[in-house]
Amino acid sequence: MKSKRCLPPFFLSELIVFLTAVCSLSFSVFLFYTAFGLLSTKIIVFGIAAVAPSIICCVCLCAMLKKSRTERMDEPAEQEKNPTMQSVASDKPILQPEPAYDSESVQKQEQEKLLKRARTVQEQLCRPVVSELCNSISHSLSSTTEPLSKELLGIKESCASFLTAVSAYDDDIKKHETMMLLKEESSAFYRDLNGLAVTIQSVFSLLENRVTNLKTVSSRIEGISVDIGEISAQIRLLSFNASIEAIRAGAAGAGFRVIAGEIKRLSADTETKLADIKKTLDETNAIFSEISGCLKENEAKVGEVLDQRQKGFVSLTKTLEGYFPKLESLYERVMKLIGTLSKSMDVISPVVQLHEITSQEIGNVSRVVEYFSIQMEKNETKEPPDNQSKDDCAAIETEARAIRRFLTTEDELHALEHGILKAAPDAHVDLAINTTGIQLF
Amino acid sequence: MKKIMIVDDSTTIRNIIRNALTSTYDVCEAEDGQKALAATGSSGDISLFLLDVNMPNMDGLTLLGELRKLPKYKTTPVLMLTTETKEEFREQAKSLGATGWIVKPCDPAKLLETVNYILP
Repeated sequence: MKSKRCLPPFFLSELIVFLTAVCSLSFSVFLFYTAFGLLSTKIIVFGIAAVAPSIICCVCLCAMLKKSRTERMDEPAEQEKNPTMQSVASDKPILQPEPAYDSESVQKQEQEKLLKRARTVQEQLCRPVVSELCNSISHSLSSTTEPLSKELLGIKESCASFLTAVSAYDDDIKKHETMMLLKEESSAFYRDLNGLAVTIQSVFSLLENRVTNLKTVSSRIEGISVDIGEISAQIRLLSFNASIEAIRAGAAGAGFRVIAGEIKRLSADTETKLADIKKTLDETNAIFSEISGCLKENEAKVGEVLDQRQKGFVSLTKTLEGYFPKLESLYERVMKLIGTLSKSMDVISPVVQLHEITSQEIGNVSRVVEYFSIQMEKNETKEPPDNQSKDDCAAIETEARAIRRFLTTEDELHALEHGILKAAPDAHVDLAINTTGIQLF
Repeated sequence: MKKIMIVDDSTTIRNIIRNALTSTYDVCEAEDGQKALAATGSSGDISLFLLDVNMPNMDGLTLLGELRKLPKYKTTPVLMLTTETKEEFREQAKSLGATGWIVKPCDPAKLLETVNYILP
């Protein structure tokens, strides 16, 4: 097989090279004769006979070289596709004596060694690198999952707390209880304020009346003191007349004259006291006038203050009444915001869960890759089992149970189940997918 | 608020369980059995333990045995949380005094329901 494939091309090439050389030599001789003018009929015939085979041989030689190049270029690819070809290719240098071809073969062997080494290195690197990459992704995801979950939980708790706090005002705002109560209170206060104003007015009126009455009493006393003054003047006149009469009586009227003198003195004292009374009454009247003035002034001030407070209270009530609808609207908006926020949380929560599950699954894949790596290293030294098909199935079941230990999500378990079915449709492994998962002793 | 300790080497699993329980319980965590055992002294009264079986340094079953040696946690409920489906492991946990056996994956809502049932 090897000789049939290799000998004809090499034999033909040698022959063609030889013929080319001969023809070229003949053609050179023909050209020599032509150049020096030694042409004859025989020489011309010889030249034509030499040129034709020369051209044919050159064309054949070119075709051979081209074919040889194409085969050399195709050989590495064929060797890769079919390893058995490698031995055939490696035999070629023995059959081909050209030194150039030997160096190519050595080069190929070197390339093959390098390729094999590269593959081994890649195989050695692949598993730990994949494992480390998975670990890295898992770590990155885990490091973001934790703060994300905490933050989400914090927002949820804040929302719930805020909702509870706001909901406490729900009845107040929706049923207008507080507003009604405030309205009632304000109305009562307004009524009381009006009542107080009336009371104060009546008190001031009463006080003014009393002061007027006191003034009247004072006027009466003044009138009485005037009357007393007149009586005193008459008594003095009477005592003067009595003194005259006592003088006329002589010695008999001496006693009477003393009495008339005493009456005169009493009259003078009475007038002095009456002057004091008048002075006191004048002072009292001045005080009453002052009190009356103050009362009027304070009455006006109190009336003004009460009026201002009433107006202010009316304004406050109107403002509060205006604020209640605004407060109600604000409450509705806050409740709507909390509702939207809660819905957003509901949307974000599965994303965070997915984040967590993905992180978990990548970590699990890393563990599975590591497990396979260890198992494959162990298997490199083992002999293949006798009963291949039966043991394969059993081995797959064993491996599946081992891999199950690394899987923690339902999707992973389903993926493992599908993988087992693809690898061994007859294998039966209980992966505990549909169990409730919880068993209390 | 009652305290629960989650012992699992997977951060993600701990996060999922913590998120499920944290609204109702005070949750503390440990990465492996050794750290959990060390933390029991300083973590106050723990009302329930959730232990993974396969962990580095000290596995869940060994930790369960160690906890049962402590008078404080002789009767504290312990739920084993694991991917192990082998009957022998479950029986071992039962004999060591575990309260329940939970196979991963486990629905967080069901887990909370179970914990609420154990800790009324």
